[in-house]
Amino acid sequence: MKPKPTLAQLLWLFAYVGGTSFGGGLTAYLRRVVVDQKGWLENEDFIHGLSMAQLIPGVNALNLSVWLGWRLKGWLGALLSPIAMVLPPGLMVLGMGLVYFQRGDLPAADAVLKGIGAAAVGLTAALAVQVKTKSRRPYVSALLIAATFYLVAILKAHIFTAIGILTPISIFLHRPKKP
Amino acid sequence: MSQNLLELARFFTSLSLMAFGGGKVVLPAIQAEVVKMNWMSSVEFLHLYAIGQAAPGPAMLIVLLVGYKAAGLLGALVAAFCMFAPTCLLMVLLTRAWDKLAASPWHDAVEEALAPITIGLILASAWILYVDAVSDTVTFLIFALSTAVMLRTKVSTLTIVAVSGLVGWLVYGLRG
Repeated sequence: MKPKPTLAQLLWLFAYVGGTSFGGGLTAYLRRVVVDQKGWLENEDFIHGLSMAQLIPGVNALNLSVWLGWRLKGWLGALLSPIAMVLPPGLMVLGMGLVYFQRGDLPAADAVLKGIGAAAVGLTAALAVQVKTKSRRPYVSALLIAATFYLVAILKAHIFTAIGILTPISIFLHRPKKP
Repeated sequence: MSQNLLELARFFTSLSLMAFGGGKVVLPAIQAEVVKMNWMSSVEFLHLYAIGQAAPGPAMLIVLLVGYKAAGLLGALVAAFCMFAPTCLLMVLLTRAWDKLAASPWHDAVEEALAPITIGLILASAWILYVDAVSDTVTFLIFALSTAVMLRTKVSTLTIVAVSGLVGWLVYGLRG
């Protein structure tokens, strides 16, 4: 039986993750906690939610928090999860902003940010590996992964363009076969 | 003040649905707007962007600061709400609609079809970040070790990031 969170547990989690996700890698962090640590969702479920979150406009992590909230706690979860996730960092941003507006600058933390930035890349790379699930068509999968990567990273195509071109192709390649 | 509030609401609502790919794509648009409306200079905007980067949480919290500069605390709330609420609502509607189609054979097929694209996008964003963030041996080691620890252990991401920040501070902050 998969454990299910209470609303309070879920919101606390979002607040905690939101408030401690320095450097980015928020999606990787969420996956780590929700799937690996708490076991509230299967990896398969998570990637389905992530796919939809990436498909629509808006900040991916935020869309994902809505989806997770909905999945685990319905309307209330969907409404409160993004708020919980944004509140702590939002307050921090406002605080830092106020310091900046007063002083005209912000005590530099370039050195720390450099280390954090490199780690965030590692977390993102790891996320790509971790969300990989068994595919019924591994070669097609690999090709699509490569094509997406090539379009966005190498050709610098707009994400919307890449999704627009590859999604129909991918859906066609994965079309349900008549028995 | 109320004029600024209205402008914040109008601007960020329309921007929200255009933020494909995460949000960073619309940063130039926001920069143009704050300069046009005389809320701040380009340089100040850049500084606020750095603050947003340093802070935890989802991207685009910079809109809080834009809103604050334009119309105080209320402005910050209006900007954030208008930027985030539309796409959050869209997410719920899409999820519900999608769940209703669960019985269709296309439902699973489409989910399967989206998975490799999702992975490709994650890899692409890792690559794009890599080019900026990893520029020498130390940052490469941090990157490689973070990846390995993330894949092979259950160490929390917070620990990974904290240690990396510490290493960064020791290596780049203390020397020179």
